[in-house]
Amino acid sequence: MTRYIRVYIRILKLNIAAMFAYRANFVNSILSSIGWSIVSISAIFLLTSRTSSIFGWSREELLLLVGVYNILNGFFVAFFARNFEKFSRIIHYAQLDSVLLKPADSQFLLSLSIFNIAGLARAMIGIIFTIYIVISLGLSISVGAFIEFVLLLLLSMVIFYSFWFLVLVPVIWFSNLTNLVDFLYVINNMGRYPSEILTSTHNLFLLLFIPLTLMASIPARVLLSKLTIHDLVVYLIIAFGLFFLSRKFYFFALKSYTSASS
Amino acid sequence: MRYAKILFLYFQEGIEQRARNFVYFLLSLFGPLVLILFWRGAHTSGNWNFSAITTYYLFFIIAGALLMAHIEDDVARIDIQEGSLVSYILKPFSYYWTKFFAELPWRVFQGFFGLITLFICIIFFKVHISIATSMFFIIATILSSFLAYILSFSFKMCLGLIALWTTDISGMYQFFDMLAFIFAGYIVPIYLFPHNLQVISYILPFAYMIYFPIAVLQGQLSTQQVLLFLGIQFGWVIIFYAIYTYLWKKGLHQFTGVGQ
Repeated sequence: MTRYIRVYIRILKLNIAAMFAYRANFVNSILSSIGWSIVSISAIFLLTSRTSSIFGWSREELLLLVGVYNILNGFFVAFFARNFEKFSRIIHYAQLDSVLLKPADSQFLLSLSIFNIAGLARAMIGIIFTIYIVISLGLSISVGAFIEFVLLLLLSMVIFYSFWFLVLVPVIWFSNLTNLVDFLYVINNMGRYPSEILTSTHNLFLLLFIPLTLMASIPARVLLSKLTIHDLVVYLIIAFGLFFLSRKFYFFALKSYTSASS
Repeated sequence: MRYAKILFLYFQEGIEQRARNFVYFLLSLFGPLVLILFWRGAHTSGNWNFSAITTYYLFFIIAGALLMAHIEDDVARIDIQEGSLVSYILKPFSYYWTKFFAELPWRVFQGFFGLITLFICIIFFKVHISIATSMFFIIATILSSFLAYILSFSFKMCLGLIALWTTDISGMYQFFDMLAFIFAGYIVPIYLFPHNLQVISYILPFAYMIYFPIAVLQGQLSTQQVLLFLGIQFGWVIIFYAIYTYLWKKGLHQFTGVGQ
């Protein structure tokens, strides 16, 4: 474990050095990251301008949801998103050999070798906006509730990561599907909406995406004092189940990996 | 005839890359689909109804797939950054029209997937679709769709050509993507925007790339409005084609291709 921490610290140092080497790109990434968080908040303002509530969620509660989603998405972009973008290219250009041959867990190297600091800007906007909504809703958050909120955000990150990994692993078989990452960026947006948009459909295909709609709504429920023990248990099962499944699926898929002269 | 050959070649590529094509279509599908699900739970207040909103987003799936060109990455990254532009310059074809006919099959395939989705919704989910039936509106829809594709294509070509100066256009691309996300009607139909935002939307070019043909087909606009907006749309086409011509002439002097 300490070896992996040391490796990750070295990765962070390399990424920070790269950030200073490409300053224009860094500024640009920060601006677009802030821009997208503003757009996602504006989208909820526009969507709720002609309606009083959605599936029982008031406008302010939906704004809280989008704030939490921005925190989560910001950290995801910072730690994982670029790695997944690279993952499909690595497979497509048959460069996985060099990862598999290194003396470390290949899933760790594939998932954490790029750190994108621009994502933290989005997370910061999310944090500020969430605090603003919590204050304007007059919610009182106890220390216990805050710790629960942070722990649930970590669980949400596990779900976020595992879902992306699970969807991208088939690229090992179908290497030309590099655009699956673009698809994941689109379906990610489900996280901004309450899970009821899917559960109310009773459609088996759409229910597959439920983990994405729970990622922000479960931590948001803690802040709104609406979380039940039942929600918590189901969430724990989904998080650890998805992580276990994604890891097993990855190692299963690796058996079919054939390098192409890299 | 020369361009017809290019078109057929890229149709073949489109068929060969059908899985990628389908994933690209899913990008156009999921955004509007999620919004339909969102509106299902909305309490009605104001001038909208669920049937009109559903029709709008279903048409948006088709229009987003069929009319919104995605050529900018090809131009900026593959042709300019990686140097493939050299092979186009040496051939006796217009770069603009070669790219136009290379992009068209991808739009047609994805638009076709969109049509299938619409029929599935009508047949299996009994979605009621309401459209304007007068001949004027149908002709105006066809005309505005044609102009919308040329407009989005010309705009994206201009965006891609900026890479001749900057090499990396990802920042600019993100910026225009954000504007389009709001002003092209991706989130909500423009007629549901607050008044000032509606005015801005009809001045900017983004609404004319996707939203306008849908609004005409749904009968959301009066005859005078349709004629006025068709004029503005045509004006934007001329402007972006002129900008493209300027960028191409000036930018080519900036280009250095090595080893092609």
